Amino acid sequence: MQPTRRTWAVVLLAVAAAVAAWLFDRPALLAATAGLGAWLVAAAYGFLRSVAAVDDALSVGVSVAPERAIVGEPVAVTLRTAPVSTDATATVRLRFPPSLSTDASPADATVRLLGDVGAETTVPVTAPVAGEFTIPSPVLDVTGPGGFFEQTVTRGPTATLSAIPRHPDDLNLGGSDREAATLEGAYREDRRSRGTEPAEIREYVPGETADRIDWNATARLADTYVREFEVESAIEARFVLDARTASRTGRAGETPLDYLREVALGLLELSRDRQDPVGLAVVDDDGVCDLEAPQTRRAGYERIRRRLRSLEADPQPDRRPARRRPSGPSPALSRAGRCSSRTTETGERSGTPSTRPAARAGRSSCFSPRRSSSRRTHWRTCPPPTSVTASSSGSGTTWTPSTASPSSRSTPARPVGPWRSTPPNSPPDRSTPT
Amino acid sequence: MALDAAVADRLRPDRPRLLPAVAVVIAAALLAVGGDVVGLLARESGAAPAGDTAGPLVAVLVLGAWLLADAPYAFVVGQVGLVVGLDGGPSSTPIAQAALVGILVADVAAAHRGGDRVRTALVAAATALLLFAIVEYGASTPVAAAAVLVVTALVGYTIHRYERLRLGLVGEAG
Repeated sequence: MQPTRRTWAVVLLAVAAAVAAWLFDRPALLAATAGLGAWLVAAAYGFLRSVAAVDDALSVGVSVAPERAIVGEPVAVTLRTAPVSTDATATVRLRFPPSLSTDASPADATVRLLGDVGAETTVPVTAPVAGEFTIPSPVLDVTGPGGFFEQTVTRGPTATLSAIPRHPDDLNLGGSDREAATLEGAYREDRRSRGTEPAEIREYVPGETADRIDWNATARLADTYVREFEVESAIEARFVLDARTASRTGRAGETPLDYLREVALGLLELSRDRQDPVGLAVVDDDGVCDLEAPQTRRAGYERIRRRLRSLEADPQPDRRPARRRPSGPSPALSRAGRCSSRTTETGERSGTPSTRPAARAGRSSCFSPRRSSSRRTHWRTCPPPTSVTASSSGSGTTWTPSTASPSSRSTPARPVGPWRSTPPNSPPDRSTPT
Repeated sequence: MALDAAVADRLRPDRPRLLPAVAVVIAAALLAVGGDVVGLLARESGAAPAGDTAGPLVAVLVLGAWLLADAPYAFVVGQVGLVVGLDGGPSSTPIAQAALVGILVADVAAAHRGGDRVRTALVAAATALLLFAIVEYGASTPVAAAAVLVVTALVGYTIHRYERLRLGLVGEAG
């Protein structure tokens, strides 16, 4: 309950009457103080009744259409209220986070509660950056009869708007936006390895090493047999994203970086479904600028997803010069500078290498997925960073890892890992990832 | 121009004006036409009436204050008129006091509807009785003045805290 200036004027009048009664020794003037005090108390009580009645009858709904939108495209935020009969002046207004932009005036985002009909207003907003935006609960403003008291309180639900970067239309990759039913790159369940869970016993094939022979079975049977084990380990992968200037050129939504991002988002969903550890490294013109160690925690997946979404196609003009570490085993890591990312609404900012465990240890990880038994994480010093390159063709999109550094292009880029997408008609690859 | 706006605000259709208007007219009539009644009560209590024109003049001032400002200002003008013009007081002019208090009660009650109107009027009347009793039986003028102000502040703050509790705002800033 907030008194207005009119209320304070009455309070001042009452105090002045009391002071005058004391100064001029006229007790009769205290009647004015007593009357005004009674009026103030009654007005406050009446306002309390009005606010309580409005709060009890209030029904507010906030909707966002569509809930997922491309960055920069308008989104309609609608506020609806049910009829509320009150003797006070009650309004409900939408609030928007500073990260959302709108041309609507505050009056456009406000509805007045009416007694006989519900109120509704729609405000167009745009998200200038990618990320998750939470539209807070609307604000209920109640002003009592005569305007002597007012109260502001938040009421109603929140709404969420997900702004995604402009992405290519001709890329069909499952997982990232749940638009495809085919999850290319899934590893086969019939893979065998040297685990601890026996899967089957098969005959020895010439060429296999002798240490794979199951001597117990061979001793009981006539031929030589090999025991296969089920794959128990998770596929640990690290996405190395080429975010250099060359990847950011092109039409909006169709730059190589847009393709790379969609591919990485799809693979991320794939790994998340299987709870495979995933890491991320972003390479820009200054070197490796962002590192996320492979992990399987939900927050880690979400952080990588937001980081991927926050990669803008336009390079930032205010790049800091590359920051060099005084010493360190990884030149690529020491070249790490500031990422050309933008902070999302959730406050997630890509960390600098110095804040990451891997960076503190002075090492980086490679793009090649490695099978990790149990929960151990394998690290090894990285050669010049490897990037994921994608190309789109009429029959589908294929994408393979390739080296990012020109000096390392002599190394044959071998399609490895579960993320390698194969053409629809190609034979399945049964080779075990290295 | 300002006068027209103020009068229009007082008389605008969406403002419940009938009850406060009736209360003000009754108070003004008692102060003006019934000046003899006020004067008689004042004379019997020992207070000397200031003259025959004081009553109508106070009545006009009360009406003007209600039209231009608000009910509390009309009430204060009437109180000052009772003290200065009629040389009376709460105990010496009970009819005029009741009429002036009626302006305040009608004002707060007219702002609400249904059961709230009755409840608000009862709260106003009960609080007025309590505060007037403090004034009447106060040991001295400063003590009575301080007591009236303190009681009013305490009751108002209690209502404020209860409102925050009712709205679930306890624990938040403000």
